[in-house]
Formats: sequence, structure tokens, C-alpha cells
Amino acid sequence: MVTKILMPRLSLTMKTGSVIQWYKKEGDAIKKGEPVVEVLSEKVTYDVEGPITGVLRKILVMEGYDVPVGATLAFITAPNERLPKTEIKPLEQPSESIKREEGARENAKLVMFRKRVLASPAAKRLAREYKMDLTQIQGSGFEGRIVEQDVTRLMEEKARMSPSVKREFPLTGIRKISAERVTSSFRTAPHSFIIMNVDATEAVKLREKIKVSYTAILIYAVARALHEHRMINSTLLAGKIRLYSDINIGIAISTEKGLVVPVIHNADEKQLLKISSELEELVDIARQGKLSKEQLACGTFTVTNLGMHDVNVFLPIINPPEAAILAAGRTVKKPVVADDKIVIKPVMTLTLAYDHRIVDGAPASLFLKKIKDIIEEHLPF
Amino acid sequence: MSMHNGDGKMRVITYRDAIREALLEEMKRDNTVFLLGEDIGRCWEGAFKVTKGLAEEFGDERVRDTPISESAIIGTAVGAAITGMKPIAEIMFGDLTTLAMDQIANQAAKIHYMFGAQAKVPLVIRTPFGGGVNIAAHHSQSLEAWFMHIPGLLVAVPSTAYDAKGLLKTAIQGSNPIIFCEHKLLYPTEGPVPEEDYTIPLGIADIKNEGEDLTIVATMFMVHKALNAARMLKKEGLGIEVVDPRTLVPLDKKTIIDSVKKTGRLVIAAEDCKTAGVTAEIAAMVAEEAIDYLDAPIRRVAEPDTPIPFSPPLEKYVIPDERRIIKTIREII
Repeated sequence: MVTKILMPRLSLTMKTGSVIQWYKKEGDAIKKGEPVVEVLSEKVTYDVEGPITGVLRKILVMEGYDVPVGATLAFITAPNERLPKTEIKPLEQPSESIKREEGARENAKLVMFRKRVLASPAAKRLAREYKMDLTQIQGSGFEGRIVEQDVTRLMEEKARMSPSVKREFPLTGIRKISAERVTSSFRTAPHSFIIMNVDATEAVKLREKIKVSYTAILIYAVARALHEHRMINSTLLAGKIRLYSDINIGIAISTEKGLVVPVIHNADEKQLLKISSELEELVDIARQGKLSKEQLACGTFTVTNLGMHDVNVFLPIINPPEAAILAAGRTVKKPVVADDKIVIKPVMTLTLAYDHRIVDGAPASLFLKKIKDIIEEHLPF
Repeated sequence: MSMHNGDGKMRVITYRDAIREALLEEMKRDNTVFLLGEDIGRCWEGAFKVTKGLAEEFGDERVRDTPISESAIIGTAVGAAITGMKPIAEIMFGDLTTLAMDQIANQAAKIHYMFGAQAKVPLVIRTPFGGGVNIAAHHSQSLEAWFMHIPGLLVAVPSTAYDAKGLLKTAIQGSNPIIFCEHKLLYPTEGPVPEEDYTIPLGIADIKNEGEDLTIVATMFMVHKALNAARMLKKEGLGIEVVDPRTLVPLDKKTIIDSVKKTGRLVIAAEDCKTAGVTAEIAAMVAEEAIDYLDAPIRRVAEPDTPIPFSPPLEKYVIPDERRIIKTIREII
């Protein structure tokens, strides 16, 4: 016997529900009372349980799709029973990548597939052109039919509520990858920030002696500090924290096409001049857009510096799945109290953003303090 | 859309006189043009007096009275056309074209094709259609759609004196058989016509009234009823666009579709029977080619599928009028 799993009514006002997650896949055995699928109505999620013991034979509604209350979500059969051919065919199978947020249009298509929308051909054409969901429009025509004017009225309303668009283009290439990475990082990693001022007197003196950038100095200091703070030279992926023996420092570089993060590998083993020359080379190649896979791979920590743009302090987003990122502001002369006197010193402000799942405040502070110490007292030359 | 430049003097003449002028001018211009038909000569000058005075002007040889045989009239005309003449045959009532249907459908329409373009049939068949004059079922039909269905025939359906003259001159100057449909009630109607020579190309519709809210495609006498309806609805602030195709073959699809794109609503009004009629063809064309621009169902105003009654009240009931047009417009606006 074929049994259906239906979209339940979770509240009196519920009209449609979304399938959030299938706990079982097609062909899996299920027991009566066992959760089979998670559904959502407005903000309430609910586990739909197996109505009988049997086999989940066919899933009709994929994750991320909305269906009306009472719609069939799946068929359950006895273990050796086949689904009769007379049962309705599954709805068009959406590919994995199509998710809810990919816009109302796909949803609208599916809803229209199930429920006839009363709309004139002209209204349907306009809705197609403007990518509008007809199910969201109230019809004013004969018998509640949606007519062209209803669509244009809504368009005009929307236009009044939003600024005029000069140009629209899709998110592609580096911009897209970068967007996905910062979004994933910002959503999953609980960012915590600590900020410290660094006396840059030694760094400034060093730069008077040899041609080396603040970024190179930072990489030098960070790599050596990481050597003593291994917990921060790590990643968190799939529930596992992984500490690395290699200390590979990524440097955020702004290019015309977007942000890239080439890596100086084993920076803790490299002298400042070596780091400086590698950095110059990487910046050059990055600006030409010719970085190799190897040059972009295996980073364990990232340094980002906006000091050259007169930024004092900024809060960076961790380069996932790394544990932390160091952001440097500009080095600028400031009145500083030293030995109870106000003196003028070059000061650099460093911000460490760290993933609080991996690292806590105290060890993060010790790590930042170590960087500060190296810059203030342990630079070469 | 006409060929005259519009600077010339206009005068108001009847539809009947406009047709006569076209005949007169073309007979003067081209001495291969001649007329033949029942009682079109000096004794009776045509049932609707269209050929009045032409026999005196051009003689009995060029304005020929024929026996009462429609088949013979068209057969003779087809033969004359093949041999290089430009005959203009008059069938006294459109209903009687049925008697000449073999000559029209199987000869006139096919010869150019069957003889590999070695023979041409430059033939104009003038005939009045339409009801409203209380002459019953054998003399009141509108059979324009019959001819639309025969490849090889052109079909003109002028609604005004101006269109009638310009289209008829084009028809006479052409080299293909054309059914030139006139309407009995249109003969006495008056309209401005230029004094100077002009022609109107086939296949160019005329927008008789501009409007934004609904398109009504109307032919022949229905054009005038549609214009009256548009005037009445204008008082309510409704803009009705009246499109007159002027020729059914070729049909100016573009003008019709452009108008539908503008208004999103379509009513088609013609005097023939609804089933497989003029309105059916235009509705199907728009449904096929422009359905995405329709904001309401297409509605048709046509005669019910019935013979035209002899009883005046019944005839009045059967033939669509302004009220019926307005009622139909209201259904979809």
C-alpha cells in the first residue's frame, strides 16, 4: 500500500510550508513515528514523522521549496513494493544549487505548476519580464484575475520604494568567490576583536636603514609570534580544529578585479629581507592577475594592512577557515605618555579578529602582545 | 496611408459616387478596362446606380449588359482578363457570387498558379454584401470570409468613400483577381474624397479612431457602428481604437497587433456569421501572434449563425448594432 507524507498544517493561518531538510533519502527504511522531514511555516519548524513503517520510495518536494498545506511531499511503500506508474510524476527536479534565496521566480514557477494563477496573458508576460511572482499579486480584474495594470501598479510601487538603478550586473569571478567566503566566515565564525597600540619607533628606524614595508615587518612579526602561539595557526572545519606545523601567512591585496590573498609560505623560517622581496613579487604578480594556484594555497593566517589609506583602526573579517586575522592601521605620530612625560612617538594600531570557537580572549591577547613586543623590541638590524 | 499628398482640394461625395469616379477615371486612363454585369447599362444603370452615366460616356461595348447568369459573367470576364483586357464584373448581390463560385474559386483564383505564371487574371469582381435593407435571406448575406479561404484571391472591404475609390483604383490597376466587397447601406454615406488622383495600397489598415483602452477591429458598415460606439464611450472617458483593415486579403496584421499591444483588449466586429467568419480569422491570428499582450479575452461581435430574416424587427435583432458593440466592450473592460 502506498502512503503519502503530506505538508502538515502547523497553524490555523498557514497556507504554505517549506521543506527544510529531508532526514531520509529515497530507498531508506523508516519507522512509524520517526522524524522523516523538517518543514517550516513562517518561523516555526516541525519534524514530520513517518505515518507508517515502510520505505521512503519517492520524494516529490525537494529541500528549499514551498508547497500548499496538504500537498504530497513523498510516498512510502512496503519494503518490496514498487510505486505504481499511475502515481503522479515527481515535480521537476531542481538542481542542488537552487535554494530558497535564489529568488521568488523559481518558487513562483513551481507554485504555479501546482496551483493555477488567474492572470491575463499580458499580466503573465509582464510578470515574466520583471521576474515577479504572480502569486504575490492581488488581481483586480474579472473574478479576481490579475491584469496588466495590477502588475504595473506593483512595479511602480516598488520603483517608488527604491532608488533608481544606474547599472546592474551579476556577481561573478573574484567578487563572487570573495562574497561567498566573507559571508560564510561572518555567518559561521563568531568574530571577537582585540585592539592594541604598538610603538613603531623601532620599525620607523628600521625603515630608515633598509627599504622594507610595514606589511613585511608585520608578516615577520606575526610569523614569529605564531611560532609560540600554535593554537592561532589553525583552522576549524567540519567540527575539527587542525593545528598546522607550517606557518604560511596570507596577505590581503587589493586588485582591480577584487581582493586576493597570496601566501608567503613558512614565513617563520624566512628573514625579513626575504619576506620583503617575496612580498614585493607577490604584489606585482597579483596586480597583473597572474597568481598561481600554489601562490594562493595553504594559508594558515592572514594579514591585512590599510595603513597606506590613512585608516587608523578597522575590524577585519577572518579569512575562513582560519582562526584569526591581523588588521593594521597607519603608523602616525601621536602624543604618548612615557616616564610620566608626554612625548611624540610613531604609533601603529593593530586589530586581531579571532574565531571565538577556536581561541579565547586571553590567549588571543597574549598573541597580539607578542606581535607588539617583536615590533617594539625584537626587529632585526 | 493614401498616395495623394493631402494638399489637394477635398469635397464630400457618396461612397457610390466614389466608386463610380474610380471606374470612370480608370476607363478613361486605360481603354482595356470595361464593365460587365446584369442591368448595369443605360437602361437600368445598376441595381444600386453605381454605373450611372457610364454607358453614355463609354458606349455599350465597354459597359456591357449581360444575361442573368453569374457563372457566364465571371467566365467571360476571366477569359477576357487572360487575353489582356481588364474586366470589372458586377454581381448584383453578393449572395449570387455562389452561382459563379466555380469560375471564381477554381478558375480566376487558380489560373496564374496552374499555368506557371504564363497567364494573369487582372479581374475585379464588384459586389454588394450586407443586410439592413429588408430584402431577406437571399440578398442580405456577408460572404467575405468565403473568399478569404481561397488562395489566389484578394479581398477588399472598404468602409468609406475615400477608401472605396482609392482601393478600387489599385484593384483595377493590379494584375490579380480581387473580390471588391461593397455594402448596400454604405452607398449613400458621404465622406471627403480628394479631387486629385490617388490610390490606396492593399494590405494597409487604417486607424479610424485612436484610443488607449480597447481595440475594435471592424469592417465595412460595422466600422461606422464601432465609431458611434467609440463616440458614446468617450463620454465615459474610455478610449476605443477603431482599426479598419480595409483589405482582408492581404490582412495588415502588424497594425492590428500594434494596436492590441497598446490597448491589451480586442473586440472584432464584422457583419458576417460568427462561425468560421472574418472575426474568427482575426481572433485566431491575434491569439497566435500576440496573446501575451492581451489583458482580457478576445470578444467578437458578429451575426448569429442564422439566415437574415425578412421580418424587419427580426433582421434588426440579428444584425449587430452599436448597443451590441458597447455591451461586448463592457464585458471585457
